[in-house]
Amino acid sequence: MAGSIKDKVAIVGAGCVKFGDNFERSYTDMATEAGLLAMKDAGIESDRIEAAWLGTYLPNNGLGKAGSSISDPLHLYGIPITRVENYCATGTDAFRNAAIAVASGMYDVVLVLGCEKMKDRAARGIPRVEHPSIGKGTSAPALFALAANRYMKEFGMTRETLAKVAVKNHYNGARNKLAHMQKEVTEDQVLSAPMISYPFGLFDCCPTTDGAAALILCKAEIAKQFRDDPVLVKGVGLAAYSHKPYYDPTFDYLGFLSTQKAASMAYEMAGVKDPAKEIDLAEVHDCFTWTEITNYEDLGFCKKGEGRHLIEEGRTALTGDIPVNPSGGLKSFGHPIGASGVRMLYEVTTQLRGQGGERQVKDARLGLAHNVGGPGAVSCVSVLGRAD
Amino acid sequence: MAGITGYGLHFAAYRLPHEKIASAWEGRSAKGEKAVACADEDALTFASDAAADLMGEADASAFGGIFFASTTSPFSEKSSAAFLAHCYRLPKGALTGDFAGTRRAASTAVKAALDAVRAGSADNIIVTAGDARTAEPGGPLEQVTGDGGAALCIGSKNVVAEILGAASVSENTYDEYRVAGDDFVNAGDQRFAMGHNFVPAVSEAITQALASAKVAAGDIAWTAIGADNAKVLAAVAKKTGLKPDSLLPAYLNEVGYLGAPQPLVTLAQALEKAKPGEKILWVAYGDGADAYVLEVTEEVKKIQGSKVEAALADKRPMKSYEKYLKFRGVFKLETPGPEETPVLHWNEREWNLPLMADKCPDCELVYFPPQALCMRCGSRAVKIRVPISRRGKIFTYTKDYLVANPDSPQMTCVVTAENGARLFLQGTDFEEADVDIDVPVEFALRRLHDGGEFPVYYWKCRPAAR
Repeated sequence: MAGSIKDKVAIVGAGCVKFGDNFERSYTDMATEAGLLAMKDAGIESDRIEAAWLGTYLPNNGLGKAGSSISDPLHLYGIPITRVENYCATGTDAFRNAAIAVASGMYDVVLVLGCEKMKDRAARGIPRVEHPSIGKGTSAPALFALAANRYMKEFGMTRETLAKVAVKNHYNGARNKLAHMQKEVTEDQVLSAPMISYPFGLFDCCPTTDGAAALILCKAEIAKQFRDDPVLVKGVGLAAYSHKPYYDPTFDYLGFLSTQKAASMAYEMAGVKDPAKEIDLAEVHDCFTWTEITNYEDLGFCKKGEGRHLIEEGRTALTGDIPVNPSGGLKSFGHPIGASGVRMLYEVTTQLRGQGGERQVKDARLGLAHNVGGPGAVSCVSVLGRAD
Repeated sequence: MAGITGYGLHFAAYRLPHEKIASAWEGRSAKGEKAVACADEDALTFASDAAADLMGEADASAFGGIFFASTTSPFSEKSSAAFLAHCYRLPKGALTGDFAGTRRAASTAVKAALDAVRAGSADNIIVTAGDARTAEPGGPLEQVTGDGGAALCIGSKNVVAEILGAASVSENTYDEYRVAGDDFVNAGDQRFAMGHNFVPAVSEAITQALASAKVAAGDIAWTAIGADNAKVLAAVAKKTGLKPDSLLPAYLNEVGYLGAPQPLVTLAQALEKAKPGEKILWVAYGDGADAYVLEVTEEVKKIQGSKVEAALADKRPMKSYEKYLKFRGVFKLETPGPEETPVLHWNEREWNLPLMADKCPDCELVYFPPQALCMRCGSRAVKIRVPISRRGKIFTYTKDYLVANPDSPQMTCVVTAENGARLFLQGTDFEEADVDIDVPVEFALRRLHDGGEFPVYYWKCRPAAR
């Protein structure tokens, strides 16, 4: 990779709405609140924003189809607004594009907004539009469950280990006022829940959720104009692999190359050599419990096949040496696809500022946000660090 | 010399005990059970499965045509035979034909195939029949009908049963019929139909066929008559002089009366039992009757196996009568599915349904679906189209309870085919406990959904039972 944006871009504003079954709120309501919260956090009005990026994966009723979906709600007229859609990496990729644009010198202050209205549609979760015969009859849990079953067979891992991820993330989410599900669960509850797609029961799956989150980015050298505690972008990486990994005879289903590659890009840019030691907290894509375990490995927190030890030994709990998903994760915070990545960066930002409250990770100086979609088709990894 | 060169059959794996039907309607139960189509099965998939059983590992280019026979074809206009020829990679010039409208459709197709082979239009032709006849819930035929398919190959080489003589009798009758647009088969008075329609028509055809073959009734070793009532066979035997112990059973209490495929199933039994030199009388009934007198050759030893036994044994219990009604569309269910278009269907004709993979000439990776640049090495060299073996092993799987499927949970599998291609396929005919990594599977054509306002078929995997 030729270039680097390390330390060139700062996050100076962050806002997030309460995630959940927001039946009483529209796409526009949520986008407005998230955007205004981020602007207020940065101490600016919309007239300071020179460009914006909107992440939405599932446009509904025309909202979220184009950048103009946020020009009315936030009074953003006459500036470039780009809509980004990249599976579950939609929000983080919107952020990545915005950061690169600021680092290029093109803009001083920009907005990144992720918004998704998932509860305003027919039953059975995310609609999948696939090839009518070769892709027919797939649900999102099934696509990840295919990988999970192969992985579990290969490494002799059981559903009990998966359940520990749900218990941990619900514990964290129960301490987060913005999370969709603020309730602890026990391992027994996870194991005895109705089956969704084997080996995933109900509590192994993240919910479908409404939500929005926003960030204000600026050139690093002007960050102190807005806040005393700017958070710097240390590294970003995005990698796309096969859109149809289940047809790839070389795919072993034991992890995702896209995450491994995106992480190596971000680590190289950030100068991270040993992520297990250097990363203080991580918000990773735990769409299903198994996904978090394979993420540990793909992100280099441990070796392949050893992810189970991190959860079993409590190393990724809030009090562990590498807390993962202190927010509650997609598992309990919810997963409005386009909003998730921005929301994860919001959590990392507030943790690095020391605003984590009951969930504050001790001495958090370097944090990571990660999404994987497809499964494994695209991954995006961002490393953020404190400016001081 | 033209005659029969092979056979195949497949019954719906789901079996519904007759007592479950009886208890739903507070009626009397017949003995046994019947084969009932799953939601993803219909006349076309049964005919497909039977043809697959017939062809085995044979090269598709060895077949000069395929005829499809059914009373419940999924298409009123569009050739199911052409569809099967496409899916099974028959040569472009293969003869295709559809025979419909009567339970005698398969034997009429056999007559047409014989004439075509004798005239030199083709070396051999597969006649494959399938039916999923739905009887009126609670009606007299509900415990009689069953669902499945059977196939015969008619050819001039390696003949296992020569045709010594044949006769057809046409009768205009209304004993079992289905009016266009109706869902259910109707039956009139059974005693009248059997006594005044079946017995005279079948007996007349038998007498004429025996005469044309110059064979005495007492010389017939095996009598294969497609009938939905075992009692009337004795009456036919008495009337025509056939030996009562030559009569073969119709498996009415094991799978039920299949409709158009029924006579082929009964004939398959005869072909499995007969010794070289023995004579078979084969009869199909429906708006009259067709009768054939056959003589078995030495070649029969090469094809004799236990296909009938295997097809009977390949079964799984249907747990409730309600589920059967659901599968048969008596209750309307959700999901038309994603839209297939005629253009997409045509655009992918070379690889999608025929299951053709690409082989990279540089790194030799075999992968599906085809793409211009090799999935592994990126080579732009012209790929070699290779047929995907229709057998393989489950690489990984899930049981999906979330996705809409009348036969929930849906088994979703990633399968490694024998020649290395990896495919994403739904599983079917699996018991929940039987799906696992490394389980051997075979592929079967199944109905996926009705997106695009026509039935969309695709391959699924099922346990490799045979």
